[in-house]
Amino acid sequence: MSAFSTATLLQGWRDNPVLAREAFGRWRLRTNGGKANYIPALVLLVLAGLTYFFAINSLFSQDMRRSASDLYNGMRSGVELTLILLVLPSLASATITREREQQTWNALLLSRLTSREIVMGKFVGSLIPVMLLLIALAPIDIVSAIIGRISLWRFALSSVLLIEIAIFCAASGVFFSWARRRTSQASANVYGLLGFLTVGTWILYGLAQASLPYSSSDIAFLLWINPYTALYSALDKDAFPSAGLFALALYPLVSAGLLAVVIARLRYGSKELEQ
Amino acid sequence: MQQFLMSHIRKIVAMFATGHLLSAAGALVQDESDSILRTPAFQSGYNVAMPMIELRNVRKEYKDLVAVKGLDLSLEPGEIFGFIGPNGAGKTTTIKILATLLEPTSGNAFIDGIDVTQNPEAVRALIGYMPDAFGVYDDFKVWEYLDFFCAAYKIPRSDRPGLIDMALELTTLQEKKDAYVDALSRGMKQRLCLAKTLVHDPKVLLLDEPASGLDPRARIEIKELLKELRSMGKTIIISSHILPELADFCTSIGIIERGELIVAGPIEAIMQQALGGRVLEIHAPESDREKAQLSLQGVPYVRAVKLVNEVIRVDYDGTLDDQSEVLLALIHAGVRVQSFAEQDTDLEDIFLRVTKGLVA
Repeated sequence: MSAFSTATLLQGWRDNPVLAREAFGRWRLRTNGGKANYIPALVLLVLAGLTYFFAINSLFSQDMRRSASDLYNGMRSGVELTLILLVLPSLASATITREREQQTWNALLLSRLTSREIVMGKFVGSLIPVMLLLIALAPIDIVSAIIGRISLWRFALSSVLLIEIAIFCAASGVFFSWARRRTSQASANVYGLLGFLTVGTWILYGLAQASLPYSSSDIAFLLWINPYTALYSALDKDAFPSAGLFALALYPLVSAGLLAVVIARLRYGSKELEQ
Repeated sequence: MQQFLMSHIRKIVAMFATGHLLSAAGALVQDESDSILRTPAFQSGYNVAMPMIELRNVRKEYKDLVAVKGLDLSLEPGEIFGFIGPNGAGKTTTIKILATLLEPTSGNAFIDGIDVTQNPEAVRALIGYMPDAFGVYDDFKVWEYLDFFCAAYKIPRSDRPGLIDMALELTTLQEKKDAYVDALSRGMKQRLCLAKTLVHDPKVLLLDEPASGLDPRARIEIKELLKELRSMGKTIIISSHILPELADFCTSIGIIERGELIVAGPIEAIMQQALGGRVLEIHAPESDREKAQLSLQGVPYVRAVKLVNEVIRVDYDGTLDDQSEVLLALIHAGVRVQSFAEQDTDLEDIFLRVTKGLVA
C-alpha cells in the first residue's frame, strides 16, 4: 500500500464518527444522569494487576524455562482467548441493535456515511477495547515466550490466530447485531455460535466417533474450526499445527463474508429498511 | 414576544442566506447547481418543469396490511405540504418511503427527479428527515451531538464550529451548547433533532409530527422556524395532528385515510371542494338579523343563510369579486352591518368532513 493510500485510510478512520464513538464513547466516565462511572476501569485495572502478579509469581519457580512455557500457553489459551470469546461478542453484538433500540439508527443511515463506513466503524470500534487489553498483556507473553524458548514462528502463528479469532468474534457480533432487532437476541445468537464452535464441535466429534464407522483422524477436521483446538495446535511444540493453519485460513474468510453481507444488505437490501 | 422571536429568526436566516452557511455547504455539494441553500431568489435555479417531490402510484404492503394504496402526489420546489390523517392512515409510511427508509411494494417515488429506490444515497444527501419518535445520544454534549452529525455528513472540520453555532442559534439552543443531551427537555431535544436535520442544509425536509408533545411556546417556536425555512425555499412535507398549526404556513395539504389520499391541493381549493364553497360570516344587531336573512335569499351564488350563535352564516359559491354583491344587498336592505368577513380556513372542519375516522 502506498504512503498516500495509507494516509488516506488513516484520515478516513480519523474522520469516521461511528468509529470514534464506538471506540472511545464507552470509555467516557459518564453515564446517563451525570454520574461518573469508574467501575469498568477499576475492574480492568484490578484484573490486569492480578494477571501480572500471578504471571510474575509463576515465573520464579525451580524450573523457570518450563514455568515460562506453561505461563505462555496459559496466557494465550486460558486468558487471552477466553477474554476474546467472552468480551468481544457482547461489545460487537450491541453495536447496531443499540442504535435501533435508542432510535438513532435511521439518522445514521440517512447521513452521508456509506454502509461500509458505518459497518467498519462499528466493527473496528468494538475490536479496539479488546485489542488494547491484549496489548496490555503483551509484555507477559513476550517475556514468557523468550524465557520459555518459544520459537518465533509459533509465537507469530498464535498471535495472528488470536487476532483472527478476535476479528471473527467482532464480525459475527456485528452480523447478528444487524440481523436481529434486539441486543439480547443478537448476543444470544453470537454466544450460541461460539458455544457451538468451542463446545458443540467436541460433542459432535464425540457423537460422530461413537456412532459412525470413522477413525478419530478421519473426523478430526470437525475440531479444526474450534478456536481452542486451533490455538492449542499452534502452541504445541511437538506437532504440526494443522488445525491452527486451517483456522488461520478459515476465520478471515468467514469474517470477511459476514461483514460483506452486512455492508451489501445495508446498501441495497430491504431488511434494514423495514426497521 | 413572538415579534422578537420572528426578528431573531429572520436575522439568523439572513446569516444563512447571505452565505455564512454556503462556505460549509459548498464542501458538501458536487457543483454549484446542486447547492442546497435556496432563497426565493435562488429558486430560478430549480428545474421548474420537474417537481421536487413526486409519488407515482406508490403502494406499500406489510404482509396482510396495505398501508398505502396507490398514492399520487406532486410538489413543486418551495411548497409546504401538510399531511393530515388519522393514526394509522399511512402518513408515516409515505414519509419513510420518501426518506428511503422503506421500499414501496410498487410504484415510484422521486426527490428532485431521483428515484428513491434506485439511488437512495443521492436522495439522502437532499433530504432532512425528522421522525416522530427519534432518539439522541444521551451521553453527548449538545455541540458534540451536532459535531457527530456534521462529521457524518462529511462537513469539513474547519467549518463545523461556525455551522454548529448557527444551527444552535437558529433553534435557540445556544445556551445549552455545553449541556449534556440527556439534561434537555423534550422540546429542546426536538429542536436539537431539527438542528441535526438542518446541518447539511437539505433541499427537502420530511417532518413527521415535529411538534408533537411540545408545550404551546415550543410549538410556536417550531412553527416560526418552519415559516423561515419556507422563506429559504425549502420544500417541506410535514405531518401533524394539530391541524390549525398546519393551516398557518402550509401552501397545500393532503388528507389521507386508510392509505388513500382523499384530497390534496391548496387549502382554499380543498375547502371549496369539501365545503362546496366559502362561508361568509356577518355580524349585525339582533333587530336586523331577520331582515338580513330575508335580503340575501335572492342574491346570486348564495346557497343557504342560517343564524349560528348570533352570527349570520352564508354558504356562498361565488368568486371573491362576486362577494361584494352580498354586502351591497345587505346595505340596500338597510341592514346595519357590524362586520362582514369570510370564515377562516378551518382545517378541522375539512378534516372531519372528508374523513370517516377509519384506519388501514
